Amino acid sequence: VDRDLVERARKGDREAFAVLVHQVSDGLYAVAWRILRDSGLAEDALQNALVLAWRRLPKLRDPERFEAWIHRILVHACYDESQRARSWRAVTVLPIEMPGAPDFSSSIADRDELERAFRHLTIEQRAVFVLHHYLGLPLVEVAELLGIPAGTARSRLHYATAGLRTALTAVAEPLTREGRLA
Amino acid sequence: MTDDRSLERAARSWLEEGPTRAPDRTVEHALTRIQTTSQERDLRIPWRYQHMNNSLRLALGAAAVVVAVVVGVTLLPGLTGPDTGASPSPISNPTATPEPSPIVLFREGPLAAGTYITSAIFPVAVEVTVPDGWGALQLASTVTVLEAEEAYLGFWIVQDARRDPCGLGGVGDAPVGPTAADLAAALADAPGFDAPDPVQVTVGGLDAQYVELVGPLAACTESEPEPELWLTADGSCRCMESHVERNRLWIIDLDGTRLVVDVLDGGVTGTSEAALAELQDIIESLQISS
Repeated sequence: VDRDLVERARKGDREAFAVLVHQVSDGLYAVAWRILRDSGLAEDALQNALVLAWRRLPKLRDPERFEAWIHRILVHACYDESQRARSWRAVTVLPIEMPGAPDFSSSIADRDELERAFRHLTIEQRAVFVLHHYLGLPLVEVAELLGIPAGTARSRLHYATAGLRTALTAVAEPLTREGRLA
Repeated sequence: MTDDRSLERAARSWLEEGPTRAPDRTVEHALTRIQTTSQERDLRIPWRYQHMNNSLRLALGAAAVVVAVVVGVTLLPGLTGPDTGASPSPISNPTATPEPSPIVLFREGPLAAGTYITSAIFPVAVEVTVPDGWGALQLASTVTVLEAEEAYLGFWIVQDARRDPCGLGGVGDAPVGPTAADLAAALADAPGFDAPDPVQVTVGGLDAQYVELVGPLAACTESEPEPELWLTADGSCRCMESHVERNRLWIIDLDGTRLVVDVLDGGVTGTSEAALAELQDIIESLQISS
């Protein structure tokens, strides 16, 4: 992202901000969709995040941090959309250690189960999971981006991974795991 | 290969599936909304002039002008009166008139000792007596500031508080209720600050909710380190410095308009007894009416 564009937009230049929007929208939408798993909600989250970013841009202290900053706004917009939609269920904390769990290959059944299990994660867990595994951000950067302690980010990722692992294990071992995520 | 690794590989592969391009209509809708959306401005308190050189003072003055332009308020008629020169002397000189406490309008810049009243653009009439060494700034139509070397006193017309001063506002941050007590409770509960419960007091001849905040206890994030306490109707935010200070707040309800008398005196980092006494005299001099 061009620092000069950010500076101009901070000073109220809407044309400069429009250029920035076109540069970052695709990436933001991809993240929002993966967190929310819903096109309509992701579109609303993106739109609200862009408008809020415009409003708050004068507060951004370091233009070099524009991308991390706008991702933070996007994630919070996703939280808002998720809350508004009221269609997600918080997951109960699942056991972490699953000795003897099978190798998770990329079967279609696994993918369906991943989708189903992911929707059972809390929105905060999903955000950390997507930022870490989709954007490839280290956990300390995820924590900084979200404005949370590193330990909290680590914990959210831990429980997200455990939830997914349990779901996939349930598919692989239907007799022993049946009903665990019902 | 460990289970976790195979899971992560499967999850990453699964995450790669899905759209990577934002719908054009969504982006265009956002840009259309932005055309009619104003930017927020946080008003950093121009306090502690002993640490600032003259160029910074000028920059702060310029920043105040920018704020005024952004919020779309014509300040000059209310601020300067017929005399628009650089002279710091007030419209009436308290020592040259027979009245014991002449009232003059706030003006940008240093104030002579005397009694002043907020300018006509400010929604509430606040009368205050200051000694030598104080200056005034009209930072926005809803924000009037008095400041000296060791203290700051602001008058804010507050629309809403940030329940989470490190949050993003407007996203998951429900507005506080409409009363002075609602605002006081929200400020006292703000995470990242130490504050006892609000108490009922009298200031400027009116009932007020009093809150004493000490903080912020930590910076928010690297990109937006300073927490925000509240927002005015014209988009001005009260932004806290990232070092710990004591903020004394009197919140007054004037027929639905909430005036916050905002005093920052560095009670944690140290302010002289003389400066604290001077501040106390100023607070006791307040007369407020809608």
